[in-house]
Amino acid sequence: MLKKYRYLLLVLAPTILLFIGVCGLSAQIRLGKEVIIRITGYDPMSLLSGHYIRYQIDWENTDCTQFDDNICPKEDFYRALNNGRWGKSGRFYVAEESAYDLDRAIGNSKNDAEIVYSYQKGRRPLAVRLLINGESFQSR
Amino acid sequence: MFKTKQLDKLVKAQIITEQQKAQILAFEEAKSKGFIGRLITLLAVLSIGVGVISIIASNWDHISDTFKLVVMFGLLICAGGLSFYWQEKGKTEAAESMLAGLFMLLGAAIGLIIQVFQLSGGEWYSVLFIWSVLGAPLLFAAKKQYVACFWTPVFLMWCGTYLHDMLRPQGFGAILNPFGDYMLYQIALFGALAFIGKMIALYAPQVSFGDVWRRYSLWAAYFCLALYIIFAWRSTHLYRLFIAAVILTVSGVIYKHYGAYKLIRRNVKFGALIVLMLYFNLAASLGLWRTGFGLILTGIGLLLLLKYLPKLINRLMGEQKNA
Repeated sequence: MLKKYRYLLLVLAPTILLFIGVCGLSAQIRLGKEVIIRITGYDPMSLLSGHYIRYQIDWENTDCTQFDDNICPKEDFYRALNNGRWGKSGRFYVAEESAYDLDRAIGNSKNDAEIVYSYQKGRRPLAVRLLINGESFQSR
Repeated sequence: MFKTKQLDKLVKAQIITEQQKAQILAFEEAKSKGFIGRLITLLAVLSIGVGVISIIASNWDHISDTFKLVVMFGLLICAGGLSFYWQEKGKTEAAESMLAGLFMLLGAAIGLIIQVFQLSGGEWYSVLFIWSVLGAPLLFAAKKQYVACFWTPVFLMWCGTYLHDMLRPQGFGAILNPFGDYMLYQIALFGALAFIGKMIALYAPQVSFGDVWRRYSLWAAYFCLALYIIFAWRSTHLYRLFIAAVILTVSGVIYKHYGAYKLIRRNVKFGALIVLMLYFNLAASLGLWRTGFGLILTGIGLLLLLKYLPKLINRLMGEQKNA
């Protein structure tokens, strides 16, 4: 009997661990404060059938007053970016059918692109929405 | 058909009897049916999983994140539950195939979570680490080697890329010399993992992954060694060929001690690779590549290698093998 439940526990353990991870991420998004970060350097990429844009954070044009002490926590945000050949860049995944429109919208220099992050001090920020001229491109 | 003809020849030469031929054919048929059955079960599991994921991917905008995650967890629980059910019913083969399918689904689930939660950051191979850690309990549930055959490459790829990224020089040097001396650490790591796998297989034979771990780690070690030798093409890196020769000799002595003649044969082939790299370097120093002589000599050399290398291998270990 014990052997039977041992097998069941081992088989379901990965799913349980993954579920705990997803709950943690959801809680982090809900508990975090929403901050808007300006981005630049778009590059639509295809990853298997998914699409994402690659971006860099534009600290020069980001409003740092939304953070404590009016200081942008750059180190915390760098943890959410990848180490690329040309510096640190982030990815924002979009649906394949939206990729073309998004590419055109952010390719237009007149448009402002921003990402809304859920942020808690000292923790890795999580990207929630992409904004084009202040409007949500893809609502969560 | 080929096997039948071969067996006919053996019957004619009175090495085996007609009855033994029939027994061999029956055994082979049963074995191939089992293999095809396992393969089809695995393909069916993967096909269903990939199909569901494709439906989600093609309707990405129209399906809410919560629904995507619910479907994903539903699939994982179904796969785990089916494996448990089949295990209880005594259908071990089907249960084991489902475990391998569950491991693959786990990889797809991690990819889905990354996209839903926009998790970029860190290194790409961290995903391999998370996948192998989450999938590790399945190794202990499995009674056969199917899961291990999928899990071990993921784990080894993480080990190799992590170490490579940690040790390789940054900047221009890395582009010029992508596989440097630090590869010796990778070879040592994979060698150590192969040893651990061997010990697991020896002292805990009930754990299914020991042998797979040993075999795959050894392949990874030899793959790194091959890159280490091949990227020694510059004259300033010729000392590497000497280091590679020492590794092959030392490991050859250990193999001989344990009677692993198949591995000695592999070492001899890698020895030939060292000779080949030495030859390329020498030919370049002598300027043979500037004329057609280099190519002619290479052709002759390859023909001689083809003729004498098997003889050399057989002479080195043929007697022991027959003993």
